[in-house]
Amino acid sequence: MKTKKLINPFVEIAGSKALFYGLLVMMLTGLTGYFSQTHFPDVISIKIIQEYLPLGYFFVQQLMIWLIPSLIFFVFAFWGSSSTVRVLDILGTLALARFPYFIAALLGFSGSIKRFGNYIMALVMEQDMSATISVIDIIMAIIILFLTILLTIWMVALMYNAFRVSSNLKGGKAVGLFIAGLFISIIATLFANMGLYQLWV
Amino acid sequence: MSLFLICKIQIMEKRLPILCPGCGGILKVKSLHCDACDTTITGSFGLPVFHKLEQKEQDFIMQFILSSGSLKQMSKALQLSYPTVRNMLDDLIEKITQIKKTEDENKKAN
Repeated sequence: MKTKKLINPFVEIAGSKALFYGLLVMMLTGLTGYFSQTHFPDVISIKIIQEYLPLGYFFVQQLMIWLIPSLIFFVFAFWGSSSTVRVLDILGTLALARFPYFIAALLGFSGSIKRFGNYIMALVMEQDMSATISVIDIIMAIIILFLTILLTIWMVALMYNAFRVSSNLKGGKAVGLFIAGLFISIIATLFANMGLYQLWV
Repeated sequence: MSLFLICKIQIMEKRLPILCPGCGGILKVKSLHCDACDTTITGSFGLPVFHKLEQKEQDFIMQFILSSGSLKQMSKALQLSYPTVRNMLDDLIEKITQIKKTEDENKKAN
């Protein structure tokens, strides 16, 4: 029952309540991301950045990776469902669905993942064979990478249920429209983020 | 043990069966009885749409009426989100439409 709630809390929470908590989660993710240098260049990607970007960048990015998919999923739900679809439900549930990435932003504080990234960059990009890294850092980095995969799966499951509950779509139609919506959202947010990055840097 | 079983049977709510246990078809009322004057009427009476629904669906309709048709009020009472309650209602509308369609087809066939 608890697992069900973790994957689909929208049976009990949606609309304005979900929107309030969702916005709070996104603002906290943006703030945490600013300090841990973790950003989200598209709907599902998580990246550690080396340069320091202003706080505004992280907040605008959070809004962007939420509003663009919301708009796409609303159009799909409106087109595919025979039920009444409320914008508030789509916005609220999709905002709350971003909760796992708050944990991802917290994981960015780990120095191991940064050192592992620098090590890989030195080895692959600069062909620097003298680059070293401790075994603990490698183990920690692998654990964090594994955790981020789990967080991504969790968030996609939440997004799917947010879309399904808000639109009353079922079966193959729900799955098909969700996959198409997610794919378009990833591409759209990726390009939008490129523009945002150039604007702030 | 046997006393416990008797008590359990006594408090069990008797439910009107709507589907035939043999073939799964919709059951009809064959006889009606008046306890006051011991009169029994026999015939073939179809069940109203409401009784063709499952118990939880009938409860949902009752709750809907008692909430003056307010889905917001219902979502609060059932501790469910608004879209969940609306989806339940939409599914029920779909089911009733299907039952009525089948009934009309059966009438035409007869």
